[in-house]
Amino acid sequence: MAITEAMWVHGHAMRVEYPDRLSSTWRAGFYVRTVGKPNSTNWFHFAVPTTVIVKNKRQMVDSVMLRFRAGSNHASVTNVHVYDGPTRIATHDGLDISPSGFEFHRFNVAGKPDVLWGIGISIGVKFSGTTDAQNTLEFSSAGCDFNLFETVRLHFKVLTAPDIAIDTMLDSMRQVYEPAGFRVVRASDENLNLPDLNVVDVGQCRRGQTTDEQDTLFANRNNAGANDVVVYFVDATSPPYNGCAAHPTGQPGAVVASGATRWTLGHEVGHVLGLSHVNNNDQLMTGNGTSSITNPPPDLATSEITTMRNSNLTINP
Amino acid sequence: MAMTLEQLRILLSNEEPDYIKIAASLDASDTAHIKQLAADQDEMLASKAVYLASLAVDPTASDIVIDAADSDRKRIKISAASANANLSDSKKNRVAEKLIDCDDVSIQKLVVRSLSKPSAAIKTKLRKLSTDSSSQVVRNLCTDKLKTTP
Repeated sequence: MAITEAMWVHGHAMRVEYPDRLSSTWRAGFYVRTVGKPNSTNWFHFAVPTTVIVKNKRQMVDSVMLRFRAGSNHASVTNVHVYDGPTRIATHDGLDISPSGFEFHRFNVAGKPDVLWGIGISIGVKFSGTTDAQNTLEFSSAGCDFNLFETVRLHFKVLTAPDIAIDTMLDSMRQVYEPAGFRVVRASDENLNLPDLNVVDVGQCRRGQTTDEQDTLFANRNNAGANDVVVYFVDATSPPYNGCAAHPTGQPGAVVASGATRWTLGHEVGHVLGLSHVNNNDQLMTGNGTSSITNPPPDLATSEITTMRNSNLTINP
Repeated sequence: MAMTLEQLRILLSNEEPDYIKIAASLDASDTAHIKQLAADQDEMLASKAVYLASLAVDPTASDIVIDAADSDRKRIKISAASANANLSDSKKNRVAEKLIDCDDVSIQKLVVRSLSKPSAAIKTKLRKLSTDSSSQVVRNLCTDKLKTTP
């Protein structure tokens, strides 16, 4: 997928949060060189000039990039946080990156949010060496890629929280959908107190066939537009399924049972977008159960991506 | 046709198993495998095996559903309640006796809905639920069931 916009700033632009924790800062023509005091941490910040709208299209944040090197493995990047104005839109923690030569590193922004206010990249660093040479980090550039994705808008209606956190299910779904060019937007969340529907009768779970209980449940579409997909998290279905994507006409959605796997959400929304089962455990739509998926994250086939693009539930940017 | 345990596990691991199709391919020699899967640590798999047992042609497979009604695991109880609709009248009442007092509206709903010829003891419980249940749906189901069953 082609990048629609890319913005970079030179290392000179870097701002240091705690200057007193550095032995020195040197802005040369090539880069900014920082030498940290022994056993110190710090945050370095890059403000990336951001064209939020290009040709009347609001851009979506794809990923941010850094190009830097370290004097030793005692000087490292430990965190990369991405902000759009005041909102943190991505966190990469627990890093330990100390390239000996200038290296390019890309950090994904999951969810591919619309950019509104301007991108800031905050970099956590650690210096644990004893000499200036060991505690040196040099940044030559920082940047951000923007893109335009087809979008699936999801609304979550929770009757029972699933065993696997909804955040995990959504993150897993994005791992499959985003490389295929689909952005998954969590448009709203709502808790529903409907104990009578917490185990919902889904019949044989056939496309185009719904029970009275499905009809009643799927009528709950607060905040959802006609082409938005509503996912109902229930305790269980009757009969027992991990999920079921059969939905009333004009009310696209699916139910996901509390015992579902991390991939069930993406699988059921795949059905809603028109996909059928395949006999391949490397793929999201495997008919052998998403608990059997090998080589995670699972894939979407080219033909499946075409089907999804043709769905009126994937919205062109 | 007898299946291996692994074949049955794969079929039931499907997000949305085709129970009717699977049941049609089973014979009495598969019941032991269904029973084993109904006790599996994976609750989703176990609950699916319990439901499948209710559709198996082997009459002894329904004992898996009756036993599931005593389970400590809520999903297994739910599955037994759901599966009860497929059992014979006498066995439905046995499952219902185990589950109808369960303090869970969802399970009560499934059990009441599954009944076709409730025993005298079950009818007594239906009368009580028809006035005492916290759920309007369950109260209505009980009232209707008492009117429409012999």
